[in-house]
Amino acid sequence: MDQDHIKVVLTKEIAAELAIAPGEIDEDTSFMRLGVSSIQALKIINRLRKELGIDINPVALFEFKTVEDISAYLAEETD
Amino acid sequence: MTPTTESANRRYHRRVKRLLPGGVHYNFNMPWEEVPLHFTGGERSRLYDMDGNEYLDLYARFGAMILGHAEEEYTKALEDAMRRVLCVSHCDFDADALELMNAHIPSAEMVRFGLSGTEILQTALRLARAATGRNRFLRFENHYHGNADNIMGGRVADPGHPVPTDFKGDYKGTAGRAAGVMAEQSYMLPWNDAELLEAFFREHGETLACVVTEPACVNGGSIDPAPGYLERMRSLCTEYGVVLIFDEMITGVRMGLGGAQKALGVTPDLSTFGKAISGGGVPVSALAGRRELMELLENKKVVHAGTYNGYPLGSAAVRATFEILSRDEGAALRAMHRRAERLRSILEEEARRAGLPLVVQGPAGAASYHCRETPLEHPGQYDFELMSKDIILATAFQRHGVLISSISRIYPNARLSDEDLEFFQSRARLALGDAQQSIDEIYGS
Repeated sequence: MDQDHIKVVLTKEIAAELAIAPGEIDEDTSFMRLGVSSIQALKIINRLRKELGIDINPVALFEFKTVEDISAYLAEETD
Repeated sequence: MTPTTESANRRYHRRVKRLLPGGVHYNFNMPWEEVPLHFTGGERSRLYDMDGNEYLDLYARFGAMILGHAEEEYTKALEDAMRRVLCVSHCDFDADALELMNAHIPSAEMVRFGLSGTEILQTALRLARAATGRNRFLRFENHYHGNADNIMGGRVADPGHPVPTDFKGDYKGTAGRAAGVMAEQSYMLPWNDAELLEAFFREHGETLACVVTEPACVNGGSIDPAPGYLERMRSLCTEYGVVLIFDEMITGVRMGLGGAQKALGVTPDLSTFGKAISGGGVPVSALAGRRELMELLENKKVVHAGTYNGYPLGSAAVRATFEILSRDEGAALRAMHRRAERLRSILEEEARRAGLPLVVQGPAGAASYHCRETPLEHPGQYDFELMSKDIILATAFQRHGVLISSISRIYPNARLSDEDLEFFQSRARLALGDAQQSIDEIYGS
């Protein structure tokens, strides 16, 4: 799956959850610095799973904490 | 721009966070931000935050606050100790604290005090190695024994060679761990499987210095030992000359003044205590054990050092805690356990009403709930998805004024009242309804 597409969807979901504009999200900033709470992180991952139609190991959140890193990881996983 | 509706707590969090990494004084590798509540006061089982919200405190500072907040007799004991002698190496009430522990805890033939659980557990490992002349220790999956490099987190990649190593997605995994320190020093097995333990001992028993276990695995989801499991562990350790260490940081006092070892009838060679033994107001950890092992400290073969070890305020806190809780043949702890059972049944009833699968398991003083149909049988079953659901419920509880400890532990205190139970019931109904909705939204098809 195309990394840019994943990035767009992920950014949109984070923005929706944090009630901010997608443009305000820096791709290299970690979830923690964006102020994503535990419930929000779980919701974002789940919406991403549904929207992209892929199975996402939630453990990915522990290792890949930025939009850039998560989308790169998912793109590789779904290749 | 700062929204005008920002709570006093969040505003204060932003202030603290400028200087305090993450705005918290401790962290595991969780991939989200934590916004802790900042409290302004507390009494008995209740706490009050900077926005004036009231909470029922079942978090109890990771279980340490067993006497509740602002307990009069305890607070007075600390005040008296501070006025008499604040900081010396030895004071004239050490003996009371030591004798109380010796009287109640089966393995406590001798006792040393320290400050943290992490540190005292490492001293226990050192003693075991000195006594046996062996290096390796055995620990178990999803147990927790402090945040030292050699004993925190990890997973076994090859069951044929059961040594723990780092893995992606370990919330107890850390960058900066000394290379190879887990694999060189330890083995790790699934817990609660006596046959597996026996097979392991047949192969590796003679190389082991010690076995370290939580006697009831609270950190792995409040899982009770299977019938006969600890007894078998005890007999294998004796047979192979291995030191058996019970980590009673949580179970000590919460399962009774004699700890899990007295409640379950299995006596280890060494045991470590902390948290509730000093009532939660000041830090004290303790290493208790058989005289012949503890004599390695007496004859100076093993070093145990620390500026504040045995400090007067800590000894006063241990003495006061044991005196308060042992009075009237342990009436306060019995009442706490009775009300804890009631918390359990309220939670189960309200979950049924909300249609949320939920079990509550473990010792009454240190039980956990889990959002699943059946109790966990071993800590390996406590996976990320279950933890996530449990966190969703804990978050809903906090929103409705009930504080639950990580991840889903319910720590009652000796001052828990019937009014607290009523408060809990009314809030549990709201929290479970919210949690069920969130879990459906996140995990529903």
